[in-house]
Amino acid sequence: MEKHTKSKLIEMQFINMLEMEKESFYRIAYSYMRSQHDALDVIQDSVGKAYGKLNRVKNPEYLKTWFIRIVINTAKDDLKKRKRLVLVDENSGVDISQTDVSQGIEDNLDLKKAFSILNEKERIVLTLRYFEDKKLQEIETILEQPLGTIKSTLYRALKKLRIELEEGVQYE
Amino acid sequence: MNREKKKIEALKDEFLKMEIPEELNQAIEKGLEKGRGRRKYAGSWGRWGRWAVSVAAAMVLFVSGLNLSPSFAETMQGVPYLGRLVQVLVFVNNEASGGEMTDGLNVSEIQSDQDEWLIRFDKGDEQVDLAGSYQVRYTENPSVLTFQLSGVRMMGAKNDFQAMQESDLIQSVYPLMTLDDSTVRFQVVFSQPVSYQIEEYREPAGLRLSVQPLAFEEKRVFSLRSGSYMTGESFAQMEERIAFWCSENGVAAKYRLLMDSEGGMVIEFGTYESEQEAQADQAFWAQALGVEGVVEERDASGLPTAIPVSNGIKDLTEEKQQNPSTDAMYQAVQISEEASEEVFLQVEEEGLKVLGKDGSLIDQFSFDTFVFYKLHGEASFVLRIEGNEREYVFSGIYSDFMNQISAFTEVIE
Repeated sequence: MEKHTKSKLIEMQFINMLEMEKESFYRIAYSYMRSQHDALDVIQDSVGKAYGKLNRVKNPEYLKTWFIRIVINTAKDDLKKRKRLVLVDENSGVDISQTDVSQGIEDNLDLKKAFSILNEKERIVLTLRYFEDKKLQEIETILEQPLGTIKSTLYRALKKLRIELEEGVQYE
Repeated sequence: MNREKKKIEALKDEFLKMEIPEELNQAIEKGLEKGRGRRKYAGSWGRWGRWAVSVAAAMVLFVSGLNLSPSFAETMQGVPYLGRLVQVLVFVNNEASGGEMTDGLNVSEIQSDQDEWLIRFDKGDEQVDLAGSYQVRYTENPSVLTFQLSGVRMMGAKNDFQAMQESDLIQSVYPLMTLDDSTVRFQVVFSQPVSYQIEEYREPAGLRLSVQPLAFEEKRVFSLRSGSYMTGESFAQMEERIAFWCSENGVAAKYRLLMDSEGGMVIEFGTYESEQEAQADQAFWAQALGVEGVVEERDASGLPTAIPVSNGIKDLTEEKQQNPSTDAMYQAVQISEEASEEVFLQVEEEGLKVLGKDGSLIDQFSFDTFVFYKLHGEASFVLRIEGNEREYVFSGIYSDFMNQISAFTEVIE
């Protein structure tokens, strides 16, 4: 009975959370996938995966962090699959990360351009830190990566975007 | 803010304004359906499993259409199908609403489980795609959900209230008399504090309520309440009058209706931690409406006790305040539909008395010699009394008053 009650409660929290935070989850998926259609696929798959695993959630406090991790991992897997597909598709040989976009970045930087300059790791760290205002420790938990790696990814991202924050600011 | 920071802020701004595709809800819904399908059907997720199968199976039905094997169709029969999730209600200040403007609906069924219930609608025996506009309000001490369903003219599922009450979490479920013909209301009173969630479904229309018990310790509260009334139009009118007064005077209508432990209806103005707080509000309402509410101390999860209105509590209806008798059941009526003169009817054991506004006896009809007829008037009933070669017609009679008469004599419809 106790177990039943707890899992039902988590389920209710989960559905509520989706309702309240769905746009934020979508944007995170988008920052990884850079396409509406693909981001929607990621959200759908993530919701399905998470819902099926809800009974494994021990601490409802971390439900959101846990779900964001699922979204990112799903996006990662999805992107991997797509990359494999790209390899066999002769017509899509353009690697956007190699495009020369350095000109005019400083004054004309928009989100689309910024995302095209960065690789997916950099995009997600930048998104979580600056757009979703997550603390570095939280990003560490979500991405399951050492703090040092996250910091250097963030540093690289800002450098690519020619954004030089004052010493220390970016790691706040 | 330096230039570099501005750049980040501009990007963030753009990020937050990103277009959110309309299909996002659909994606989440599909994800939930998939997830439910992944659930095991046994153990603590048993019931979920059952819903899950139905959702998944219904999708198969949709896709495979005519290729359905008869045996599969047979197994599908009787399996509840939830429909498509429209929204999970978000309660703000303990209130939430949803649905679409409509009319002529019937609450066809309420499926019960220990901690979840599914409210279904139909219209002339046909399935309805969208729920009519509705409001749900949650109040505490005891925990109550009040459903107000607009565009609903019938409560065909009234008999399902009994099954709902079999849940350990529910004390009682009952309809609230509503003067608006196109609205039905009902209350679910829980036996203890609960967390609750309501999901709205479409195709077919449905509201799914699920609750979970919360850890709690019984405490005592002070309730400021009215006396107990019989449920019926006069009580509903009294409620409307208070609601009207509140809106006219800009007072938040925080009161609620509650059924007492013996089935009478009570207006509760609030529950308080201390007697002093209750008394302060008691003084307020006494001055505002001339209501002498009672402060009652009871268990927070308990029901109000039955306190007869005549026990020194002044009535809330103007007519009744003027009434000559304080002990009997009576109602202000008109002698005929056209007549403007108001008289009072009073039910006594031996018969019906007609009193003037000053309390003088105008006439009386003993239950032994007169025959009583209940006829339908415009917004109320008409009482026709025949006997001694005479015939009398009284209009403006409410059903609860009719019920009182029928307690003593037969009323022919």
